Parts: sequence; structure tokens; C-alpha cells
Amino acid sequence: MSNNMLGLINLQIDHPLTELNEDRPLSAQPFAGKFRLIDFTLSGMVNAGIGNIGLLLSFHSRPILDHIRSAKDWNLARKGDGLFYLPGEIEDVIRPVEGDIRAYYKNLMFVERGLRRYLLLSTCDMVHNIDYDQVMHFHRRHNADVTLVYQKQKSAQDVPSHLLTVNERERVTELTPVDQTNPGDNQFLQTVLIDSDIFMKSVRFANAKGYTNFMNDIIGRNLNRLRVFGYEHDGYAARIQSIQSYFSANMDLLDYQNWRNIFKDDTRVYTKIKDEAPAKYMEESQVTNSLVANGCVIEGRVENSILFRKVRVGKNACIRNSIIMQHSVIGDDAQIDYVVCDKNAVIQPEAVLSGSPDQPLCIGKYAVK
Amino acid sequence: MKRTECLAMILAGGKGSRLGVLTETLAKPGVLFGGKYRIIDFPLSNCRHSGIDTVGILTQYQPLELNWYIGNGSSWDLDSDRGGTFVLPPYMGNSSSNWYQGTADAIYQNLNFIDMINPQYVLILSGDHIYNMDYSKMLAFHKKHNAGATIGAIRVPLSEASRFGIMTADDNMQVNKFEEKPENPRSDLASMGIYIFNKDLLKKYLMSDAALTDSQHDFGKNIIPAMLQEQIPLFAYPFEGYWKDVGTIDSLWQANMDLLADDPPLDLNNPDWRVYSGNQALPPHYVGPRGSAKGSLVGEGAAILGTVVRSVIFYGVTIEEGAKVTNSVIMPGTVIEHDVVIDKAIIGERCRVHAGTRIQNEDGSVFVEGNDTEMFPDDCHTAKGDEQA
Repeated sequence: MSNNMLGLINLQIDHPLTELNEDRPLSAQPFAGKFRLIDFTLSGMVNAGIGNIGLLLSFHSRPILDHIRSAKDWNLARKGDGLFYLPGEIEDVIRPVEGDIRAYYKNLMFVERGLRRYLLLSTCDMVHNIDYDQVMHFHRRHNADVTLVYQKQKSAQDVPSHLLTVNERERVTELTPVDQTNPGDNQFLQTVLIDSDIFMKSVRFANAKGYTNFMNDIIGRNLNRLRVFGYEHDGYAARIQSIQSYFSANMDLLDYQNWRNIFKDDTRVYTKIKDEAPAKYMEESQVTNSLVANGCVIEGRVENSILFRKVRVGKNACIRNSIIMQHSVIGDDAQIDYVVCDKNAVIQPEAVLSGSPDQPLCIGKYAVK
Repeated sequence: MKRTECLAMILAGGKGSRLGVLTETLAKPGVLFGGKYRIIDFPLSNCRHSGIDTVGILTQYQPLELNWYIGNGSSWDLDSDRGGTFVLPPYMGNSSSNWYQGTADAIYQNLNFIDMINPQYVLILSGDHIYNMDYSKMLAFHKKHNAGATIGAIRVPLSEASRFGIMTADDNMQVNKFEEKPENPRSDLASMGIYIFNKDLLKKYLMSDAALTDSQHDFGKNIIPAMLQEQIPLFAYPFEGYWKDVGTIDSLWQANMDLLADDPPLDLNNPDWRVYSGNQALPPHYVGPRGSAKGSLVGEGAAILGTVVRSVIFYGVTIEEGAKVTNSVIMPGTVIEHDVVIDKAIIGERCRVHAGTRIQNEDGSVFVEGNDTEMFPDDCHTAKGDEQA
């Protein structure tokens, strides 16, 4: 456990899944039956003993504030330390500035006052269970200035990212922005451990110079000057950037090994507590290869699907390859396949709806179909 | 600060010896129930929903796990500055220290605490029952009748009445007779062990009862009869709904099974009356490609790779492929390995039932195994339920 790290999560790097919900930031996107995307990064920090975490808020921050509130459910409602909301300013709306350096510059006070030797910088569009404590041990062992967390890709992905070239001594020699990744690539996992002093100095300098992009302009330009190392994460990780990557990352968790890998006993993923009863299976229910959250009541059939909290599945209804969010109701005899239902959706009795693996059918919040 | 109107005191020191191995290291109110709860979640959640924000919990027998679970009461939203949750174990006084001798003595020994809070009314609850009840309605009833004491009452089958404190009441529900566990009950109106007293009256009767050497210091046996004798207005508040004493292995098993009906008598999914409990931070449960659950409750973080029928599976349980669990209660963290067959059993926390084991009592009674046990195919797994009954 380490109390010499400060956490900073940038929620401004965000691309809502517009097919589902225009207003909801990706960080607040419901995921894996009861979580929101931010829970994974935030819980990872809490599990590593980081007690001082800043959230750089985007302008659609209502869903995040409603979700996290005092951060008590993450054990971050503390005296002195704890969770800090770092909101934007009206000026940023009137005169938007490209890139993320300006936002870090404006919030340097958080890092300065945090008085921690290291800063862990991350985004909230990632699903993983990275042990940040191990990252810090790696960082110290290499006497690094910066450690970038990456993963060797198993399959091609249509997700913009940075690729790392790492030499035999685990030092990063090249950092390349790309639009898509191929199998075998070292994909950057949006997680940077950096010495706080170096972070503050570089951000001040880069801001004065008019640089905009932290990864390209601060890390990429200084691979020769800074000791930058690459830490390979070998557990499950996925970056959510589109409805397709969202859908497939959810489905990944229907693999028992992935489910166990993300949801470990000693590093739990925390989320807002809802106090629902255990899931109820009726006599006629038939459920296979699925994730089912508390509060669900199931009478029908469910296959290869994810049911969020408080979903009702009617008699003889059949759900396949679908994601059904909180409080949705699937009517009797309805049949759905490759569908993503947002919160409180209602699928009427006997309705038949289907999408495809590449293009799941999206049903909006409170929609009735 | 505003005066506390009603203080709840929960009697949670009971040994629950008829629950056998399940209460070896745990007081009865801490016993697990319904896939995620403990018995004490019910009175605590009831308090929260009834607008009672100050709760004293009297512990005595094996209190460690219960104390750990209750903490500061935040899980039940009972940690506000205006009230709070107070765990009250027996303590050492100036001249003596005593274990709680009976229900009334336990409250008597905490009169200082009650004076400190200084409420108008004291609600006495037991930590042994499964039920959802709005105590604010009972308090309104108490006030409306200008009662000195009000007893929570429920109709029971006459054949079972001899297990309870039995009352007779007039049309206004004023109690005129109270008998603890009568041999020949003449009424079906049973005491639920829930009382509301005017605080000053309670204090007076507790102090005079404490001075008696031949008293058992029990509410049902001593305090209520003494009040009746002195013509204090006592009323019975009739409660309708599900109420179950889970004091024996059979009744605990049955209460769990009651939840599995398609339309259960106790609704755990009522959005206006959630039953709160300690939180585990576990993911939704997983059902494998060859897993199946029917007529069952399954908690978070469980992995159902085998077959589950009419059972309560707690959080964090693993049922491996090829295992079959029917009519059973499997408590948190237990692993049921492949090719295990279990019928009509309660298996404690963190057990491991090794591959090929068969568990079922031949005489049809409930098989019970305590926490942290390893079970192998060669052991005899048939008779334990009887020993504990």
C-alpha cells in the first residue's frame, strides 16, 4: 500500500456513446451489470492505497456527481484527503483550448498541495484491474521518471491509441499515435505514473510553449531526456471508444476467466451501493452464460447476456446476446437478440427486436418498444 | 438539539443454542439469511424506514462478528449526528459487573444510556425475527390510545400458541391478560417480543423489578404482568404480515425456502422498503454455459457453473460444473466442487465440499454444517441435523 501516490483522473477526454445516450459521458457509462466505467480506474487507485484523488470533470458532470457523491462508497470521504472534484471554468466553454495540457496546468494546485512524490494519471474509458502498487514498484526499480502501462494486443481494434516501442531493458524508445491497433502491438493503456515534480515542471513549461497534448508533447518529445519505462499489464484490459468496443468488452466478461480476472477477491471494484435483494429465479427461468445483478427477477430465458440491477424478464421472454440496463422490463413472450437497452427501457410483450454482432440495436433511456 | 422521540433498543445477546453449529462463534442476530442478509438487518432496516434514528444494540454472547458487522450503523443509514447506532455490551460498574440476566435486566443495566438519550418512548426489539414492520404506525397507535405500554401482537395458529406469550384483549385491543408460554392457550394473539414503553414508566418498573430477588427479569414473565396487575393501560398492536422466528434449524431453513416462491410472503424487492445490509462490493453473479438456476435466489459474485434448484445461494459461492444443489442454503464463500450432490442442507461460510461428496439426511431432516469446514466423499454426511435439533 502506498500513500506516496496522488491520483488524477481526466474525465474531459470523453466520447459519449451517442447511439445510446447523447448526454451521458463515457465515464458514467453503465458497464458489466452494475458498474460505471469510472469505477474501474477509481477502485484500482483505492485498492493501491491512494487516498488523494482528483477528478478533472467534463461539462456533462451531473451523472458523475450523482454516481460518486461524497465518494463514501469508495471509502474516499475522508478528513483532509479523499476525493476532489476539479471542475472546468466557463472560460473553457467560451474559448475551448485543444488538448489536455491546459486543464492540467489550471489544476496544478491539486498536485502541488497533494504533497505526494508520484502522480498516477489516468482516463476513465478503460476496463481493467491494474495493480497500481506493482506499477509503482516497477517505477522505483527502474528509477524511472515516467512509467507508461501497456498491453500486447491479442486482436486488431478500431480504437485510436498510442503504441509503445520498448527495448530489452523495458525502456520506451518510441511513442506513436495510431488510429487502430493490430495484434502484437504494445497498446498504451491510458495510465501514466510520473514523478510529481517532473509533471509540474513539464506542464508549466509546455503550457508556456503553447503545447497541447500531454502524451505527444510532454512524453513523446522527451523520450531522450526523461527516463520513460513501459510496464506490461498481463491481465484483462479493454478501452471503450464506440458502441462496438462497449458491446464486445461487456461480452468478454461472459468468459469465466475474464470475469475472475477483473473481479478479484483482494482488489474489488467498488460502485454506488443500491441495496437490492439477491437475484430471483422463478421456477420457469432458463439462464445460461450470463451476468445477472441483484434485484433482477427472471421468469423467461436469458443467454449470453448481461442483466443490470432490477431488470424484470417476463414469462417466455427470450433474451440473447444483449445488454439490459438497470430497471428495464422485458415483457412476456418478447424476443430480443443483439440489443442494448438503456436504463428504464420497456420492451413490450411479444415484441421482436434484433441487431447484429457488429451493430447492436440500441434502445434509449425510458424508451418503450 | 431536538429531543429524540423514540429510542430503539435491540436485544441481540441471545445465544440461539438451537441453531447449533451456526451460532458456535456468532450471536443469533448475526446469522446469515436470504442470500445476502443477516437477521439483524431486518429490525435495523425497519428502524431506518420507521424514522427511528437512534438505536442501542445490546450484545453479550459471542459479540465480535456482530460488532464488526454493525460498525457505526452506516450500512443502515443509522449513523446520523442526531442519533446513531450504539453497541451496548455488559460493562463494569462502580460496585459490580454483571452479565445480562434477562431481557429486562439487559435494559435495566443500560438505564444510564437511556437517560443520556432521554427519549419520550423506548421501543424494545428482539434481534431474532424476519419481518418488515413500520414501527411508526405502532408508535402512533401507542400515542392514540394513551397507552403506558404497547405490545406488538400477531395472530398465530392455536396449535402453536403455547410457544409464545399469549394475550387476550378487548375490542379496543386493550390487554387484560398476558401469559408467557401457556400450556392451554385461550387466545391466538401472540406477543412478538416488541414493546413500546413510555420511558419514565419503563424506568420505574425496571428499577422495582431489579430489586426483586425472585424475578427472572424478563419482559414477558415479569414486567408486563406487573404492569397489568397495577392496571397500567396496556395495548396490543395487531401486526399483519410475514413474521418468522428463525430460532431453530428447521425454521431458519423454512424461512429461506419461503423466499423462493414465485410470489413470496416476504417481499425483498419492495422499492419503498429495502432491506439494508452490509455491502460486499462484489460483481453481478455469473451463470456458466452449462449452469442453471431455477426457483432460487442467487447473491452477487456467485459463480453458478452447475445446477441449482430451489435454493438460496449467498454471495461469493462457487457451484462447479456437474454439481447439483437442491432445497438448500449455501452461505458466503463456500465452494461446491464438481459432482457434488446436496439436498436439503444448510452449509456454512467458507466451506469446501470436495468433488463427489453426497449430502442429504436420510430421515428428511435438514442437514447442517458450520463455517470453515472441508467435506469429503468418505465422511458421513447424513445425521448432523438431528444432533442439533
